[in-house]
Amino acid sequence: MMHNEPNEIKTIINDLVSQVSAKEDHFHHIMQRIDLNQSSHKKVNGLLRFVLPGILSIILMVTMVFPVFGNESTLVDVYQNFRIQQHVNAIKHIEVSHPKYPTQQELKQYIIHTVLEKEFQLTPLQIQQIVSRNIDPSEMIGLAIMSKLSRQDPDFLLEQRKKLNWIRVVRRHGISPGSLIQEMRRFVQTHKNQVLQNLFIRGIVEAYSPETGTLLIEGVPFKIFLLPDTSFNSPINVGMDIEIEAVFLPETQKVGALVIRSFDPVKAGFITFSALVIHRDRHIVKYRVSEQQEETLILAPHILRSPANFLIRPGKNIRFVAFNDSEKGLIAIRFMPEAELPVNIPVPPMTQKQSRKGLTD
Amino acid sequence: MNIDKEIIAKAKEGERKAMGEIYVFYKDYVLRSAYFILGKHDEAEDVMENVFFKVFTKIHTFNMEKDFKPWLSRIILNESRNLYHRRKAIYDNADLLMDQISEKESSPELRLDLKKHLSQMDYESKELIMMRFYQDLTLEEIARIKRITINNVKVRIHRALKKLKEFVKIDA
Repeated sequence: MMHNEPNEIKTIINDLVSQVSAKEDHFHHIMQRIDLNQSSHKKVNGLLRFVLPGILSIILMVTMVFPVFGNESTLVDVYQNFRIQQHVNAIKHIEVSHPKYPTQQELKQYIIHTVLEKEFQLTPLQIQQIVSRNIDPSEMIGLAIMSKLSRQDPDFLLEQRKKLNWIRVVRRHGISPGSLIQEMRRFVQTHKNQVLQNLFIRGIVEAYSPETGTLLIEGVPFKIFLLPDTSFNSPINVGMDIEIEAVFLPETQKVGALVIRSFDPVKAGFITFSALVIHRDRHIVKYRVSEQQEETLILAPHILRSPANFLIRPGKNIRFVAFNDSEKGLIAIRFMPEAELPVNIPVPPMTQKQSRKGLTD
Repeated sequence: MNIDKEIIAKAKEGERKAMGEIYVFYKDYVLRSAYFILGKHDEAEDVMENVFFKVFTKIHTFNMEKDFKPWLSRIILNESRNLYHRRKAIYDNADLLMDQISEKESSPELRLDLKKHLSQMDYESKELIMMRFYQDLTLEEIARIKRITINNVKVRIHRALKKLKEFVKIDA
């Protein structure tokens, strides 16, 4: 018996296997095999290096010329179809990110009235045809662009789109895929900028020059330019409260006003009043309403950040715009020092150069 | 039984003389390991050729910080297993192995016991016994090669030995 002796097992196994020995010449066999393997590798590599690119070029040429992709036609068609689809997706992205129209229904209404009707000038019948199909808004726009380029009814195009891909529909109506892609890109660029850079400004008119078409709003650190199609709902006067729907124009790096209308802060819940400041802590102001009555006002954080807030000090007459907070009381969101009593200081007349500079800057 | 690492380093650079030295150093080790598992001399030679072919073509992937022997053992096991699966029927015939055992070094009783045992032993137990008692690998090295825990290696070797003890009677 093996009395737990691993050494004995070793001996037995060694006895078993020591009967066989390897021959020296096997090494030469192995090395020959390695050489053969290496040379065949070299052959295959050489073949791949020279023949494969040739084959690939031929395949590429064939696929570019002959319709080998079935419905998708040639390789060029496949690529262009992909590009068109990419732009349709880009349009979809714009719509999704539109801050004004969060729901799909609102978005559709916006597209119908703003884009389809105004921008693509589709007839009510054509719009009705598109809407009745209940398609995705981005597809609506794609369709409108194609309809504009091909001068075909959207309904007719949509029928074809069901059976064919975009590129085949485009080709069938003699539209160059490049021009369609360009038109879609233009649409994406325009709307992307509008969506991302839409501004809503509300404030008091500080300066207005109809000649240069510029407008300054108190507290707004940039000029607002009037555009040829800016709509006015009221005349603009210095000191009046207005609200402006504006857009940033990337080409000129300016802010252009789309709609200007008067704004009544009182109707919107704001209170405008002038008061004599009698005491000020950091953010609390005491002002006199009458001989006996004093009130407290809290300054909004953005006023405290404004360097001009040092003007709110005892003895000064300040015009405040504030609102009544049910918990904190009256909170001032805007202020303007009232004009001091006129002092008799002679003002030199402006030269022509100064005046022109002042208006254009 | 470990070869000088400088020789391996030279072989890694493609030096044929170094490869020859590795072959001379390990040829019997490889052949006998394969022979123990497969039980046929010609098949063990096939395995040996494949093992060295793999060793020399893949030696550039060998990590010099590690031991060469476990790396070689893994190749031996893989190649033996490949051959075993390709010709499963071979191993059933334990007679062949026993016929090649020299009579002068092994008693007839031992041969008989081994013959019985080998015909009944499963392939994996045979692998483990070979690694532990012929290749002299440590339990850690076997565990790493077999991708099992050290405890598992111990248990499996214990079982294989138990079977061996039942059949091999050295005292007899």
